[in-house]
Amino acid sequence: MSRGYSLRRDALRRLLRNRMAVMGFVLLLLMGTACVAGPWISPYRYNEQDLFNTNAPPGREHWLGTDELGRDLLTRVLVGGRISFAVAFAATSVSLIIGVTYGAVSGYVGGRTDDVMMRIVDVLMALPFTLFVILLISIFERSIFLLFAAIGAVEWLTMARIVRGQVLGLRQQEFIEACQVLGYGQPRILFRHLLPNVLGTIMIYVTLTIPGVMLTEAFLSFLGLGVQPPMSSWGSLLKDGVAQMEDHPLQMIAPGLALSLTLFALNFLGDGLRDALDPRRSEARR
Amino acid sequence: MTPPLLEIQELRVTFRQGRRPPVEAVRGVSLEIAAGKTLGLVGESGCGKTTLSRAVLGLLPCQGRIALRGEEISWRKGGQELRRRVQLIFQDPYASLNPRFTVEQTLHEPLWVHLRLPRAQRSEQIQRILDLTGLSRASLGKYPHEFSGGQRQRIAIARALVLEPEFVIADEPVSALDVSIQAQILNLLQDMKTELGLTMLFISHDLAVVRHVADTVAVMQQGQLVESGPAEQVLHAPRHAYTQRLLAAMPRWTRTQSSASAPPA
Amino acid sequence: MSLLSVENLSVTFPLREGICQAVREVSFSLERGETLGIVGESGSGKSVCVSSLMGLVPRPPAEISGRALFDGVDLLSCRPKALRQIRGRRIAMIFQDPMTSLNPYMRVVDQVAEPLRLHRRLRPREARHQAIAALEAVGIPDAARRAGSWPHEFSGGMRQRVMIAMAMITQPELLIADEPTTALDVTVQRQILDLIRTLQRERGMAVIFISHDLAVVADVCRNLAVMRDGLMVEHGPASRVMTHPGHPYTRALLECHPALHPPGEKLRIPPELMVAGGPA
Repeated sequence: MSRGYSLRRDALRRLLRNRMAVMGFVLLLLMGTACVAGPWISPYRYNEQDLFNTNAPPGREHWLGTDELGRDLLTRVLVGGRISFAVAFAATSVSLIIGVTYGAVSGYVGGRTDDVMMRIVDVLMALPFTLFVILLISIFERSIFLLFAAIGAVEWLTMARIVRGQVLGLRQQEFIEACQVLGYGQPRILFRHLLPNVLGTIMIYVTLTIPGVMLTEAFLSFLGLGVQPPMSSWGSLLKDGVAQMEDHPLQMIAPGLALSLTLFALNFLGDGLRDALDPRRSEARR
Repeated sequence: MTPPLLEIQELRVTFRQGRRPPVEAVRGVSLEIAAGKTLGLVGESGCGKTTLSRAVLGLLPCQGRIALRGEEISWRKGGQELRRRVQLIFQDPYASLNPRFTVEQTLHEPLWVHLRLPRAQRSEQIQRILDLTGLSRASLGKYPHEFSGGQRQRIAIARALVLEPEFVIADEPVSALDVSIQAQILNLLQDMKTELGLTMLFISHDLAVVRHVADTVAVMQQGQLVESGPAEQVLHAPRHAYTQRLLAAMPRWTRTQSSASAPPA
Repeated sequence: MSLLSVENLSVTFPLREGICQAVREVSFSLERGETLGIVGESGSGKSVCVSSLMGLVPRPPAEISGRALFDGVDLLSCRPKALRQIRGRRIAMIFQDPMTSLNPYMRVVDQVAEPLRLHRRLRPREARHQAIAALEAVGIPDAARRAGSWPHEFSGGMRQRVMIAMAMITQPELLIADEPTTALDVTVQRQILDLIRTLQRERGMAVIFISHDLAVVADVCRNLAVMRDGLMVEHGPASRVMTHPGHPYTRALLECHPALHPPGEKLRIPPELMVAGGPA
């Protein structure tokens, strides 16, 4: 029995041939590794202050210099990356789990239930996000978990809509009808047949959402609503850096560059994924 | 006298369209198919033949009586067990197969869901079906997009037959295929008929094909049955004006050849 | 001089592994007013062949060689401006899928009038006037009133008629029809075939009719060509080809048609039609 050439392998092959996407992936890998491993091997701790050495320019001891409290900028940027990545992945995971389930059920069940479920989504989407987060943060204490939850709670709405749309479209496909004729139960059809075929779109959307989530976190932290000092994320670093913009621009440029590069990488990867998974361009299809 | 395998009486399918008046897609159609025979259902688009097939399969709500071997069936109560007995072959061989399932997964699933067969017995049954439909063992590990249209249709037929149903509805099974492939699939369906004693409802708009496979023919127009009877009679001496128009619309060559190859009366 | 003379036309596409020769050294000629049917199964290259004549095959990635002389102008190597003067005006084309061949955002009358506005530089009112006349000529009932409708308000057969009106409005010398009736119901198909035949006779227009169905083509065309795997394996009068095919492939195609066999008898599938590697 020969091994088939699955659509997944075909997509992977096409993805690997997209240079920008591969570059994006490599960059992400490097950035991720640096953020995770960097602070461990760094001789400095991210909140280690050296008041005799504040705002130092880049040098042998501090590769990117220090900030106004003498903390090593490079370490802070790398730790900030950890936070940014963590928030991005955590929030996206929350939105994935809630959004996919909600959207799949809504799209598959259809009818009145679908209408009601989508109206709820519409109403929630209309709520001003920033206001909502500010409210949440003022009611509960500022914690990083709140940040995950708040962002995730907003992102799942779009995910639900997208998944519902995909499921609605796929539901009409003949192979789903074939499953019904073959007497398969609804859960089986939904989880074994429908969702795997929606996975592609979900993956694409996820890689394109993460940049948005990162930016949102950066924005919130910039406003002072996100991570609190001494913890740093790229957003809060940017906030601190902007204050020093005129005299010591590197403190703003470093986190800004890190964030931008990561966003670029994610976008290239996302675009590459979308092209790779586009069934119309598949060469494997006759 | 044994009852016909399939009997439909006064089948009605109505689609409600909100504020607009409801559409009667199938209006009181009655027909029957004897065991081991093939009924060819012909008509143009919108005549209701596909809707009828979906209603018989319980995919659409309908009114009227549907009976298998003389016993009235109810899809709401019969459910899964009933599904084993009645299957469907679709027109588009690519769209009707899950692109992410290998052939083996596609064929194994019905056996698992309905019969919970252990692995050894499953493999045996799958092998039987592969032989019957002319597919090689090597196809098991491959995905639908690796096959040609004709081979995909064979896979779809294999899937429909793996549970050994009593009755199969074939909805335009060869319309999307080239002439030479069409011939092979028609031969395959013929084999199914002779070797498995398969009873079939064959839907098609191609009269030459229907003439070839069907024992009896029914003609639908706008939801109603306008003519039915033995194939030879309906297709060579039609009584209804619409049937006559359908036959007249065939290309000249096809008409001449069909008459020439008709068995002597 | 022939109206259209195709000499050694070859169209090649690069693939992941190797190349695909969609059309291989095809040569044929077409006289004024001649009706030629090109028949073949999928992958035979029949559509690619005529699409390349009309400049619809992008090159790159395709590589096209050979000549296609239309009234002395080589369609394959002329300047784009020259091609545009011929395409839509002297050679018209209609396609298979009436759903997607018309622009859903333009009213029918505007679409039919467009070739006139473009090629004949007619004023809007005059063009629209002729468009309505053209719609009447193809049998659209109540043309004057329905002309202002949108494509989705017409049925498949009606849309195909609109396409024909659009194609014929500039009085082309050659009409290329690529499977125009394949997606239509049998009775509608008959109407469209009769329409094409009538219009062809009235205007002395040459027609190239592409189909996978030999019988349909024989109804409309005087001459018939059969293509397989990019090669033109047979070319001759339809009456002769259908009764005494010269090439084994043509004979095989005819032989496996269900109409030739008594009902219930298994169809004989000649070895020429078997795809390499067993049953298709």
